[in-house]
Amino acid sequence: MERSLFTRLIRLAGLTGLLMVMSWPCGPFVSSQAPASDEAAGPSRLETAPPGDCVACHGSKRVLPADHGETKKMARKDCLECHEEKTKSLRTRMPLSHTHWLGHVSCAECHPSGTSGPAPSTNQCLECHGSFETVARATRGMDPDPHNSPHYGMKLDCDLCHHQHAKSENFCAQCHSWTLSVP
Amino acid sequence: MSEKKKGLTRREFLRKTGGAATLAGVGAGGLMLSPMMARADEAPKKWDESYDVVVIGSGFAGLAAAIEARQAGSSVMVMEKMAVPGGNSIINGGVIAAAGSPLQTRAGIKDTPDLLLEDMLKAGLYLNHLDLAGKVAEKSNEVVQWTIDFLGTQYQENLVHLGGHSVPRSYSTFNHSGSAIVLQQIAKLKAMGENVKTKRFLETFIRDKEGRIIGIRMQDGYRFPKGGGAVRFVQAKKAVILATGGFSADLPFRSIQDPKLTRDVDTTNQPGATAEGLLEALRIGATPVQISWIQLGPWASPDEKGFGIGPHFAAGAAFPYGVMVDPKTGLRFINELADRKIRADAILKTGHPCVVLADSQGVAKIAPLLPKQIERGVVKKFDTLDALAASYGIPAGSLRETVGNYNGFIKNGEDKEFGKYLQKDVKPIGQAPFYAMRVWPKVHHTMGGIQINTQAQPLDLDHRPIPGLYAAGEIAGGVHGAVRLGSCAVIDCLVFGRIAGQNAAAEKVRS
Repeated sequence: MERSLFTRLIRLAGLTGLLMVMSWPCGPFVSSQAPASDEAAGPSRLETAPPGDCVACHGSKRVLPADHGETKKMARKDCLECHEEKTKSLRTRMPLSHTHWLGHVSCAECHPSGTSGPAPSTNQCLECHGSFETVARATRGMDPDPHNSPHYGMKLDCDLCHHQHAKSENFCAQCHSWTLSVP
Repeated sequence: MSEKKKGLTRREFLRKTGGAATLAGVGAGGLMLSPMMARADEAPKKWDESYDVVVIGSGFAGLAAAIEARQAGSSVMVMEKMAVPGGNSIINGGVIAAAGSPLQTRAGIKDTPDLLLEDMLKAGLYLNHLDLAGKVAEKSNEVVQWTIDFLGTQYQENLVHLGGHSVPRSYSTFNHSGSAIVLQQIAKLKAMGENVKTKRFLETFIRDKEGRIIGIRMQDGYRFPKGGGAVRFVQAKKAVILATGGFSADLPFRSIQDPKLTRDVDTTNQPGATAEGLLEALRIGATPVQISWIQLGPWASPDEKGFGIGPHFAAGAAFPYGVMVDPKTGLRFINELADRKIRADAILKTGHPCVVLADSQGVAKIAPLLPKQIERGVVKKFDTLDALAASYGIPAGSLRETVGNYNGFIKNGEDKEFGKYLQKDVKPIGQAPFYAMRVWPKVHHTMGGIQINTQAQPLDLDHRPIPGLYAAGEIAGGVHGAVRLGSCAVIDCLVFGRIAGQNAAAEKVRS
């Protein structure tokens, strides 16, 4: 006897459901639905919020230590009054987008076509930060020199270390055990 | 190590869902296609990108293949799963063997491709595929001169004598790094109009009804090891070239092949040296060759991560000009220029890191690297041999005797204890300061892989070339057999990379 359409649909739904369960991220064959960055599920990124106003994006989630002063009206120079580079550096404490915004570089400056488009390339960084050579000059003499690698030369994507929407990392640390203070 | 799986491992997943067939379907989030159809079926309705030749991997082999294919007039796309190009090649030690080279002639060293082949076979325990090893030995000097004349690579003036080689025959790049070759390859490719496309990961091959490889499914925007790229279909109108390297950094896969290679054993490789490309080739029926032969490098230091800068001291100074001793006894225990496996096994047998040393004359060839090696605490400097002995807990009297014996061998022109080849310019050890470092083996190279013929075509289980596919470099097995000689991987990659590129470009375009 022929199976009813209803039964066939139920079977199809079951198979689809099974396939959907199976497409849960597993190993290197992660489906394209997986978030591209760790921060996709994070705070709202309000392009209009003042740079020092943590609550505007982070809501009730505490992001500062309990005894930290009020930051709502601060810009980067105000942070630096306490967080001077040698002892209380803000490097890797917050995503670079925060540092940029506190320095009056808005979202729109790097995302001129809006923030839903493709991620800006390294060329966008170089619009302000000069050239690979200029950047390398800033760390010339450092050993190791993070901007002039014996493997990769000078022309590496800034984003390998300097993440905008996640905390920065030390890319060299994959293989080497140097500690670098990465902005 | 690159622990990329959270939760279910691949093997558990396969056991639970009953088959490799389901796994690739997971990758596409495929509600419609099963992976078997994706492989044997017609092309997707629409290809996202289309090229004559698609090269997977951007190390020595992949880049050499791309350059040759481009030179022959084919359109080429080189894709790399990591965020940076070059794989292991761009971080390697920069030595490359040439049998019968101009530098050898100048130094009065007699050498032939046959002698290199003999050395490769002896080290390889005669597991080498003779035709493949022969091809590499035959073309070794030709390809080194190609890196100089065509790519503009710069080398040092002197040759290095590496373990297992009968004579000194290894050129050394000016910066002691493979980047001297790779960056030239990337620049040459750029001049030909192609840039390496990073963060692109091969998911599966796509085959037509006759089983010919006609393209790939990949992730664009892939973040190793998590994944997360957008799925794209790329057409390869002539061929796909697989140059995805070895799997020394693949903890799960390497420990299946050799259970001794646990998490505690470090690797010299970059984190992306993992088996995905190899596994995909095996999945479509490529023949596996000697996959459990995994090499440990004997010149690596446990006092730094990965390959580091220590190996240049061990391989460039201590092994050829100095000695290696077991710190517990102060005695030599092996020929310091035996092949890598013989040395690594001997060191492992002592049960603890051993000490390699040289004096101020012995370090002459690598002197520019010493300050950094010392600063990083990998190499130590001493005013006397006794101070050296004290630092490593070596019985001082025993060490003095060992060095005395060794110096006697040098005076008489023969190492009576272990038969080590004595360099033409070797001197007795005695001139302060003295230098030393600890050595302990690290996973370095995977000799095995998929079977290829001398045309760089992978062969299936029925011994037929898989149509539309080429492979070159560390992913292929059989060139080196049981043990690879130092500086022979680079020639392997370049020789077969170029053959693969030339042959791929010569294929007829499929519409």
